[in-house]
Amino acid sequence: MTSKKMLPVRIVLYVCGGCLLLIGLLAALNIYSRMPLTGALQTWALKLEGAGSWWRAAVMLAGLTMIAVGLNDVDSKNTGGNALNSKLVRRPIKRMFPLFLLPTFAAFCIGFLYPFVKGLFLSFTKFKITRDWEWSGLANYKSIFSDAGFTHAFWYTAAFTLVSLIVINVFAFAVAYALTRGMRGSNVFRTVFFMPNLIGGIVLGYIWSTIFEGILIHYDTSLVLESKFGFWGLIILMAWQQIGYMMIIYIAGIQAVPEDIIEAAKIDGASAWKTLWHVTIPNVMPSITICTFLTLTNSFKLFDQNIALTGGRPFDGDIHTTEMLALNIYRALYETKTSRGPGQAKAVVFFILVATISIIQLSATRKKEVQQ
Amino acid sequence: MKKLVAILLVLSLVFAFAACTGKQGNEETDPAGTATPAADGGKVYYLNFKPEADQAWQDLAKTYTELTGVEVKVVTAASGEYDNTLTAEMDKDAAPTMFQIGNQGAVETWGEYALDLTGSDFANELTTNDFNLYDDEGRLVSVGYCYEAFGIIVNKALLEEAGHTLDEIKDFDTLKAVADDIHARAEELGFDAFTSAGLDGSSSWRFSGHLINMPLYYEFRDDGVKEQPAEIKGTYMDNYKAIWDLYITDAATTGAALATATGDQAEAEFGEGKAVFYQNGTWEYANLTAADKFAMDPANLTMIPIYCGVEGEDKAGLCCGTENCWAVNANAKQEDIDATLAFLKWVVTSDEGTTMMAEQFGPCPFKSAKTPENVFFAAANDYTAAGNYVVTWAFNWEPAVDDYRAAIVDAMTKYTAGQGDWDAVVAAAVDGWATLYAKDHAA
Repeated sequence: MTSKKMLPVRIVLYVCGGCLLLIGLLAALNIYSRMPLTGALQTWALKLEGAGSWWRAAVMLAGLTMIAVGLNDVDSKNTGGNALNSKLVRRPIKRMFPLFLLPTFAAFCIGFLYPFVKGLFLSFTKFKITRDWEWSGLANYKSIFSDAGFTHAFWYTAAFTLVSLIVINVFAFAVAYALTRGMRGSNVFRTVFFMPNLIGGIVLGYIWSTIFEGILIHYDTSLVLESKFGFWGLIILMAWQQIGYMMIIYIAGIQAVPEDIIEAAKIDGASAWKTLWHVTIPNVMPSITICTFLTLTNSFKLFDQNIALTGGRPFDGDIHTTEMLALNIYRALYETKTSRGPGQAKAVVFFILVATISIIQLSATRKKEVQQ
Repeated sequence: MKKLVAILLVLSLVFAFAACTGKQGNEETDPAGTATPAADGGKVYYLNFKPEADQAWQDLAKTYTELTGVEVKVVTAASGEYDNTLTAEMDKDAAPTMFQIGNQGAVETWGEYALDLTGSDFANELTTNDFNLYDDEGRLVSVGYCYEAFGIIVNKALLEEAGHTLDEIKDFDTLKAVADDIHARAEELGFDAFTSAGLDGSSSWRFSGHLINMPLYYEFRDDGVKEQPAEIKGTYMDNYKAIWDLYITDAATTGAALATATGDQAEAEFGEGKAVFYQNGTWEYANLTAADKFAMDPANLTMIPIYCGVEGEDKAGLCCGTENCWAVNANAKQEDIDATLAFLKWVVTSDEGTTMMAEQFGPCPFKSAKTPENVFFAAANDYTAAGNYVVTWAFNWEPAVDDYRAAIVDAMTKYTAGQGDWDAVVAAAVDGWATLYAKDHAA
């Protein structure tokens, strides 16, 4: 079959899929009950809206699947490799691919796509429970930029991210470098350094708050009394948890640096420092890219450790001085009966921020990577 | 994302269970003849507020289902998570048919989802309207099903050992005199005056919620405030300071250490006889007297009013009120609403229901209610019988409760550790009230 012959079929698939998706989505967002529909159309629309989440999900999934089937036909022509070109293999895969795709695709839609679309929609409304909303346009977005707590949380998060990014990566790289020198017992050390990563964030937060409080009580003060304790406490906690994980990635990177280049540098008389700076680091750039990406997004999205360690305390009037963005958003949702819309708007702004920053960071560090 | 998947899984499980069990029952006859016949096909779903009463509710629900065939589902929200859980549950297709609206803030949020219970069979069983909650239009959105009292719990045996009697304590000055004396001789006696006034989340509600009721109650009483005010003046904040200073001075734990002291710590101090006074409520009775907990002798326990130096407080009684109120979901299907109202009627009239209520919740304001054995309620009644005035729960009007209390606790923590002054506490209580009220009522 050529692509030309398939064109009308594809268009039909797109249109039908799109319609189904829209019908399901409008039901899921409870828009039908507010539409000026009449007669049988209204009856059906209301039936669908009240029919329960499974029906709506099925309609939306069917629509998405149709679109995916339409899109797939274009790509399937480009498959390379001899074995895959065999008709015996290609045909069944081509025909049955939606079946294989379905579980993951459904999970993606249920767990990510649908909540995201609904969340985006709700950020333009006033709501207490999500099915019961009232359109309010950009009012939520206007309100959040005059919210001192949110602005403070943003700068606090930015400062925290910067410091933890540097601390974690410098220490992780240093530990990885030390543990690839071939010293005795380095496997034991690697295991020990990696272990903290296996403990969950909330638990870690409470464990460290006990440790910090135990120390601070000797100086007649507490974690919840001064914001600088909260800030550095969180840095120590995150460093303790994350260094081991990043270390593993750096070790893999350092071990992959070709021996011959190092040897060549040695023969040329490069000092250990110069070898590290001009040979090893450029060669582990892919690890640096992934590690900075991980620490950046982890720190920006930090929630569990934040709520468990200080919960935003101490306060300064309206401002919770050690509150990061995620916690601020969480609190907004339950603060008052009118704060859910603005909370949702904050979440959307937060998403855009994290996405933008990580894309900029990825493209910046990628440029520095060298091809071996 | 994990949460959502989990919710979906739970939903499907619930759905499957509902499908499995939905066909049973209904034909069964009512053997005891006590239960009201249920409306056809209606179901009850109660989102319970008190984790400690979960088992009792599950058992009662089972009994009711055996008697009538009506399905009763009871789900209990984790401690401190009621509002979050309710928000999630109300969004579902099978939302709770009965839930909790415990204070004015909750009326603001959930009142519009509540059925007006005025004149319903079950509301007619009430002996008083004092614990009910009404919305702006005067609809009865929530019925108080039990009441509680709080004050200062006293270990009478220790008090006597220290050479004092209850009769000495009549107001703040006499309370302070007794407490100061015990505290001064703490080493010799082997116990202190007050338990630790911990400001950890497990304990701080005793002060940001209950103790602050004293200045709020007296201010509202003076000003004749009858509904949630947009702002408060803080007239009696000095009295609040007086009693707080007493708590954090005449105790074994003081200063910055209180920032992380827990509720369990205070309870253990009292239970193990290391302190004479312990501010808490009637709900502590079970823990203090239970054989497997502290096994205290009820005869040694009583509760006295919280004195804070307000004029005429020698005629004060205990702080009586409730946050335990039932609301019925107005958006539920009619048959579910009928089934829920029938279930409620049965809970407050049947032998099984009233027995459970008395055991779990103490005295209940219903005609058929049973009398509980809790000595703290006896103390509350004695004060009222002696002509003392009841201190009502003015703190139920706190706006945006969680944030309001968190700010007060934060300021009190700094003050207690000597790193902040009392003005910040007053600001958190007075300015915080106005700010959060405005936020709550923003268009």
